[in-house]
Amino acid sequence: MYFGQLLVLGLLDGAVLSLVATGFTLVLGVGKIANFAHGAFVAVGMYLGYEAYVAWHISPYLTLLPALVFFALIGWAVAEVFEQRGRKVGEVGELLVGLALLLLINGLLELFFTDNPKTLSGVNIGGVGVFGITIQLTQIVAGIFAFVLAGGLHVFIHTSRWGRALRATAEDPTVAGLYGVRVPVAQRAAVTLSIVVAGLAGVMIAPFTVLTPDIGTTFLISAFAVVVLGGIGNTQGAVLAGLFVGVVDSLAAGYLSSYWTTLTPLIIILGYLLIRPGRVTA
Amino acid sequence: MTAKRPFIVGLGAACVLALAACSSSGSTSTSGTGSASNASTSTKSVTVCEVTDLSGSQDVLTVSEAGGGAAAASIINASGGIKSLGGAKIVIKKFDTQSNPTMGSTEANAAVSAGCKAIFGGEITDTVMAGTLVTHRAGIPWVDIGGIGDAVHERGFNDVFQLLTTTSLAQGYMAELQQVATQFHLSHPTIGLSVSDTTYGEDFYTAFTKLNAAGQFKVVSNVSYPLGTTDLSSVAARMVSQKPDILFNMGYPPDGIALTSLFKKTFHTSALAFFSTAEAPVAMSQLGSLADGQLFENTAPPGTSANLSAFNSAYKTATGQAPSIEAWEGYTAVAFIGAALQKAGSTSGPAIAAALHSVTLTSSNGDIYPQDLTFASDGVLNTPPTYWQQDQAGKLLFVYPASLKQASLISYAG
Repeated sequence: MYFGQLLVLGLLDGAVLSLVATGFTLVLGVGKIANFAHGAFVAVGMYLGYEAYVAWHISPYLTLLPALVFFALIGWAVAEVFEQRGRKVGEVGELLVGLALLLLINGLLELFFTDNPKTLSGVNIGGVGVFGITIQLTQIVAGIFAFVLAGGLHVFIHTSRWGRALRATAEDPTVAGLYGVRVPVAQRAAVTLSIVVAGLAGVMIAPFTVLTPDIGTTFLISAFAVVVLGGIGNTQGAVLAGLFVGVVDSLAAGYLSSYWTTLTPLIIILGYLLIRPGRVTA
Repeated sequence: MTAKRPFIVGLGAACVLALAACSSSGSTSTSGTGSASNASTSTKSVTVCEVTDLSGSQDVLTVSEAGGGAAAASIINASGGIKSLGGAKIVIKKFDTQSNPTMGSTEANAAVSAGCKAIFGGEITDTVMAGTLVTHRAGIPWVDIGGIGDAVHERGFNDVFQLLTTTSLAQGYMAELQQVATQFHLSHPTIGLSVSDTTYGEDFYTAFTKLNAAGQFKVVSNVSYPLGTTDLSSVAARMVSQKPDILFNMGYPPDGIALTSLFKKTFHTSALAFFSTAEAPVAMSQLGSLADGQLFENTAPPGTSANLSAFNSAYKTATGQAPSIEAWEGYTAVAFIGAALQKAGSTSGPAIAAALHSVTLTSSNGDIYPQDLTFASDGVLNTPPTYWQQDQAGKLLFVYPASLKQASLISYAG
């Protein structure tokens, strides 16, 4: 029973990680940018869902469409910063842009919402009993959303004209440009898409996650582990790897110590790179 | 650019971030940024400093702590100031330790440099431990509010005072645990325990273990977790795994709120009681009906004494809000310092510390509690006021002690 509970809790945590990592693997694999602010956009999405419910009594799910537009606009602006400023300085410049955004967003969230952890307990759409515990439907919906999103992105990237342009840009921007792909636009689209995915993921997980301004950093570290396991740019791999990391995390915390929830992603990253360094890319 | 290059560079930076996150849960700070709460400082004034976590995870506590201290100062000043010092007014300067123990000594140094005659505040034991090392060397007394680890006073500093310690806190919890056992006829009550892996949490656990040396309460599951853990699902799973009669979290207020949500929404515990350090107003506003049945330790003074009415009025004027637990404690700390200054007739640190050891806070010098308050020789408040309330269908009712009882306990599981 206890094992089953930990397994279920791990799968639920894994679904959250999958959601976060799906956008991250996209920007890393296709946009070729290690966007450190990715987790922060998840946090922004969470607070957006929280504020919509607390201030205006609107279900977070009803904010998905406005959130999509909001994050698309924000994403394009951020992509411009990466493209016009960061990329010109090189990889270090891009990293600095990401780090600056991460700290800026953390600071702004702290300013507007304070450091006090917040919970959105009012959003309740029922639950399902498994192994003596109740899984909230909000968690199941988030899990399904992760699968659908990853599948949709996979289809988009591998079958559409836009997707081919993104993949060609990822493979070799110069050659892609020679074939008529508007490389800067494709790169900005990848960054924008990843930020939209991050923001929507935040909205989806807000109803059952404790909100803190710096939660994005926690997500980022776990997302790195998921991307390593799933393969950079592989959205389906991100989902499977997210579930795996979530389960390992949960079992380690349940049977060993809560400290392992912090250490497990780092051990996975280092272990995988040591054992299979050549299999990081998709 | 190959696919691996940005990833490897990013990975390196991620590891740096991870290490930074492991080493500190707070943010960097500007030190020595004390700001006077009063715009002007008269020539006859005594600078009393509040060194505490004005930002960061603990600021939920210090907003009311600071308001309580400010209310006490305004009441003392309005009644003529410190008469033995020629009517000197108390001026409070604030120093922010940012919920980060490494800032304890930095801000204490800043307070010493700013000419503070006495200090109050603190919500994290490690921060207070670091800060009082500095102020003890400078001979400045510190009345600690929420850094309640026994380790604070066990060092034997004669100028460090504690309104509450983990031992006195554990005594209060033990009294209520016994009431739970009696009311629900538990001959061999079992406890599912979780402990925040901090000096405070460990001290609390040690104090409880000593009080429970005879094994009256059997701890059937015991899990510790690092400070700042927000996903407590595995902690909750272990706490309920042995189906204990009582759930007991020795953590920080946000932990109690997160665990309540898990116990009620995910695990459907059959436990009869849940003890945590969550604050009633925050828990009830965030959790709504999920907080039903939760027990809250409260140091809010009952009754309607003149001192209490004056405090409530001054606090509302200062903050625009109703006071909560730390507000009473902030008030009491500054009231003690005011009474000690009056008794000492001096602003010398050792003289104030000596006066704090001998002064009695009564209704005539600002006490808002029914009983008189004094510090023991080790600097710990004698018999700290402790009351227990339970959320019963959205109403917060006194369940302990018997003299205040408004309702009998109800089962946490419902």
